[in-house]
Formats: sequence, C-alpha cells, structure tokens
Amino acid sequence: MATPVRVQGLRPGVGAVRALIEDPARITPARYRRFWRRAQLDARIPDLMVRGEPYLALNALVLPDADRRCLERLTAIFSRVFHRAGRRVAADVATTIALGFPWAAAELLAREPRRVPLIGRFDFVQDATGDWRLLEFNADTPSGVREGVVCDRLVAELLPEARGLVRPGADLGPRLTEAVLGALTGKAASGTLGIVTTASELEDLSQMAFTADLLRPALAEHGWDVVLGDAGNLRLTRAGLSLLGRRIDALYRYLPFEAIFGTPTFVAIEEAAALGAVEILNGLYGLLLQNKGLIAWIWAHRDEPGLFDDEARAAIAEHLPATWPIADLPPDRSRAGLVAKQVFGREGQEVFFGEDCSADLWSALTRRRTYVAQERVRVAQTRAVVQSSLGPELRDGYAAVGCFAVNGQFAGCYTRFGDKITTARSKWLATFAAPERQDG
Amino acid sequence: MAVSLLAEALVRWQHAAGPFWPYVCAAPFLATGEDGLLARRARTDGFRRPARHGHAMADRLLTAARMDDPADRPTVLLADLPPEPILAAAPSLVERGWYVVPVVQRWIASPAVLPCRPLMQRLVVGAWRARRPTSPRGAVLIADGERTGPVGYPATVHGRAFDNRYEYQICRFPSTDFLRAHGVERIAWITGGARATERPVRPDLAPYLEDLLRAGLAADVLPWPHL
Repeated sequence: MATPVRVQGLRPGVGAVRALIEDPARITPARYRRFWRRAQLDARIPDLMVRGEPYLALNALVLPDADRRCLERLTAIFSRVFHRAGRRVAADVATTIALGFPWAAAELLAREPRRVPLIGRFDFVQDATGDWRLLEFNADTPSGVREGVVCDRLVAELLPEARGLVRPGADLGPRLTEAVLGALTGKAASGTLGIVTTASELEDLSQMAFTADLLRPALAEHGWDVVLGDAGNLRLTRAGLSLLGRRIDALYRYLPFEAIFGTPTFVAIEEAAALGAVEILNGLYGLLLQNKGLIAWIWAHRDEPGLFDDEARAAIAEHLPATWPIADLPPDRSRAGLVAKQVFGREGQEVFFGEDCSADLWSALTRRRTYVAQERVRVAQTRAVVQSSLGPELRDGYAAVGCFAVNGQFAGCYTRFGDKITTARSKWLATFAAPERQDG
Repeated sequence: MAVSLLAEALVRWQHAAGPFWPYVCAAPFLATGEDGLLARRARTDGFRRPARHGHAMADRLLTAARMDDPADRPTVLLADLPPEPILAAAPSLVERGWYVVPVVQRWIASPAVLPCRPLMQRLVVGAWRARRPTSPRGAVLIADGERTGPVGYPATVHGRAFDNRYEYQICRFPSTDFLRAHGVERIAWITGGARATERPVRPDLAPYLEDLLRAGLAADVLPWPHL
C-alpha cells in the first residue's frame, strides 16, 4: 500500500466550527417571521415545514477560514476523483450491473457522454478530531440551490452577528447560470430548455420553479427560453421531445432516475437523446457518480497511481471513510463501527448504524447485496439555536456541510443540522466563514 | 406588480391566521409571469362582485363539525372540501371566533388540470377581508379537497395543460406538539371524498390522522352532508 501524501491546504484550521447563534432570545418571533416571509417570497419556498415543524433555522454554521479553504479544495479534488472513477466504471457494463444498475440502464450508461456534472453536492462532516470526512456525493439531482443562493443571504442580512463574515456561496447563482449557459450555447445558438419534475411534489416543483427563474434572464439574453413541467407533460413527437406542448432542445431532469426507469417518461427521454433530438444535461452518469457502490470502488482502487494522482490519493486516504460492498467486509471489521447504506439511497433513507442493528438485520442487509458498509465517522457535536413550531430552541446536534460543485469546482454550501443520520427532518443552517485574519 | 399583490395577500392571510400563521401554504401566492397576471385579473373580477359573508356555509360547516357550542375548548376543524366555498365563508367564521387558515397547495398555472382562477379570486379578494377573531376558539384549516382532480380525469395529461394535481405531505399540517401547546385536544375532520378509497379520510392525509390519534388527541372524522 502506498504511503498517503499529505497535501498542503487539506488540513482544517485550529479554530472551532461553531453556530452563529447560541442564545434563543436572539431569534425573536418578529425576526423569524420576517425571515420566513422573505424566504417564501424571494426563494419561492412554499413548504417550510417537515412534519409540521419549521425546516429553516435563522442561524448559520461558521467555518474558520482554513476549514472553508479545506472544503473548497476537497470539493475540487473529489470532483476529479469521482469523475475519473466514473469514467472507468461507466464503460464496464458488468461493474455497473454489480452496482445495482439494471442491465438496460447499464448499457445506456456505457453509451452516454461522461462529463463532470453541471452541479453536484458533496456532503461532508467534521469528525471529533477536526478532520472533514466525505459521506456521499449527490450528483444526480442535488437539492438546496435556492437555500444556498437566497437563504444564506437573508440570514446575513437579518442577523447583525453575521457582519464581517463571508458567504462562501455568494456566487452560487451566477456560477450555476454560467455553467448551464455554457452547456447550452455550446450545442446550439438558441432553443428551449425544459426542466421536468414531479409537479405533485411541492418541494421538488418549487425547487425547480426557483431554478427556472434563476436561469431565465441570462438564458433569454442568449436566445434560450425555459419551460417547467411535470413528467406527465413530457412527450416524444415527430418533431422531438416536447414539454407542455413546447418542443425542447435540452432537458434538465429533476426526477430520480430509479423512480422513472422503464416508464413512458424514461423511454421518451432516452429515445429523444438517442435520436440526437435533445441534449440531456444530467443523464445516467450523475446517478453512477452518486451510487454509493462507486465510493466502495474508489476505496478499493485508492492506491492506483495510474488512476488517481498524489493529491487525490491523499484526499481519499484522509477524507473518505473506508467503504466496502457489504458482502466483502474485511473479517476484522465489527458492525458496531460501521454504517450500512443502500447504494441508491437518498436523503438518509435506508441508512443503518451497525450499533443499532441486530445480527439478523445486518445479515439481511448483507444478503441483499445492494448495500455498502462504511466506516462510521464520529461526528463533532455542535450546539445551535434552531426553530421549532413552539419557538427557537438550543439543541445539540451534528452538522453535515454540503459543498456544491459546479462544473467540478466549489460554488457554495448547504448545511443541515440534526441527528446522527441527516434526513429530511434535519434543520437547515446558513453557512458562513470567518475572514482569514480572524483565524487565530 | 402581480408578485407584490400576491405577496401582500399571503402576508394578510398569515396575519389573520394568528398562531397558525406558518401553516398558511404559500404555493398559490408564488405565481409569477403570466400566472401572476391571472391572480391580478382574479382580484379585479372578485372586487366587482358584492361582498358576501358566507353565513350559510359557515353554519353548515360548524353544524357538520358539531361545533355550535362557543364554550368548547380550543379546537381545530380540518375541512377537506372544495376550498372556494369555505374561503368565501371566512368572514363569518372569523365573526364566530375561528382563525381561518388556507392550507391550499395548488400550483397556479394556466392552462392547468386543476382550475386556478376561481381559487385565486377567493384567495386574493379574501386576503383583503381577512381578520383575526376577537375571541378565538380555534382554527379552521382549509385543505384543498379538489387536489386529486376530477373523477375519471386521465392519469396522463395531453396537450399544454400543466398537471397541477397533487397529494399532501403531512408536513403541511400542524404538528401534535404545536396543537398541544395551543390547548387543542380535539380535531373535527370533515371530508367530502366520495370514492370508497377516500373513506374515512383521503389516503394522503391518513398518516396525519394516525399521528393525531397516536398522540392521544381526539379526532372526529365527520361526513359532509350532501344537500
């Protein structure tokens, strides 16, 4: 095994990650209500509740500047790592089938162009020693852009405590717009971009309504229009793919592939793409990069110099928790120190901590062969004020910092704060960073 | 202009909803562009008509919910019915001590499977007539009883109509912690679902009913009498 290389800039700072607000009295009802209304109207977030409890906290996670720089570098490095691994694996149908892809999807994937996702999100946590560890890569349909673009700004505007701090995601909106524009105008001088989602899911629909509004002005300047519709509004016609009766030249899909596989929507998209009638901005390749089996593959190949350069190997060794296909666990690994994750699982679904599993359940997960086992990260605890339906509360919890990668480069953050598994019930926090001079 | 009109309408409803303000669903108020203009036209049309207080509908609703005794403890009435007539009865409900909380999640588009103009008219015009009750006795949560679309409407939509049919996530409704903190021990639930699969409550809201019962709250599921 090669010796890991320590790369300058990949060490977090000496200061502690902290919450901006630790006194519930700072979040008065009037101030929170102002924040809520502006989030609804500026970010077009109609649904701010999870099981009847507020999702947005008027608070932020504050990163020491060195931690921000560390996360920015890790985002760029892991973008490269996943892309290199993805290119190798996508061409190998047998391997993608072993990762859980149906045969037909694996064949389609092998023929697809393999490009760095326009947007993806790496979810990091800080362990008890201060190191940042990568838990997963949301490369297929990452959420949280409107929070990163608008809500971070609102928190900065509404909390005096945020003065003097920097917003790492201040350019997320323009960066994403520029990336989409680059992908579109590289193919045609003008046209229509279709954004398709599940309109019956208000959360998904409103995320994409925000994205459509974000993109529309810049795209219009370059002769491109944007149309937003439900998957049921998508049709394959003689003229190509149409959405709400409008022919579209490019498509951004905000639908989980695994949910539409084999449906008329999927067939229409793939046929149109095969005919060259539509440019798919996020194809199956993003789903491969998101597959947790690919993390296990990267871990298994982490020492291949021909695959990963020194910097990448150092990042894997120090910042990626050891991960294996669950059936291939080294015999010395006890399940108490592991977390089982379904390879296609999203939003904390189908995640099992070994310490909470019976031997029978763990065996059942192993038999399914669609799980990986990942070394458990002992995440550093943070204390933060979050909002409940009864008012602001000081809670102890764990922060997961999502780092957006736009065209493979860091572009902003999306932090959630909750229990040991980050789920839809976790609370959102803004993400700020201390300026360099304040870093002890 | 259309966006600020809708924003103001949302804020007015939220203000009138008192402690239930976070549960006013913002979705219909976020329409932009041509869909926002739909709302502006709806408001103009709506103000041309004489104001009604909806006393008859309020009577009918409160009788169906068995809530005619003003001495009752704080209660929540969840009306899973076509929303426009209940919204029209908001002034009368407020007079009788009820916060009115539109929990309508319909996405505004034109053309669309679920019609939007009558709803927007009620929501926008109603916002300027929305008030808080002087002696609150509970809240009427107005769910969108037409959310799944007309019976027999095809699952797949052809043409240009935006498919804005939906189901609720139970996230949308007050948590049991919130209800208890506000002294609510009883929920009257009136549903107009006609299909066999929609009894006793519509399937998307069944988990919410289970949550309420699990928390020990009394939930009376009551029929909507067809006249």
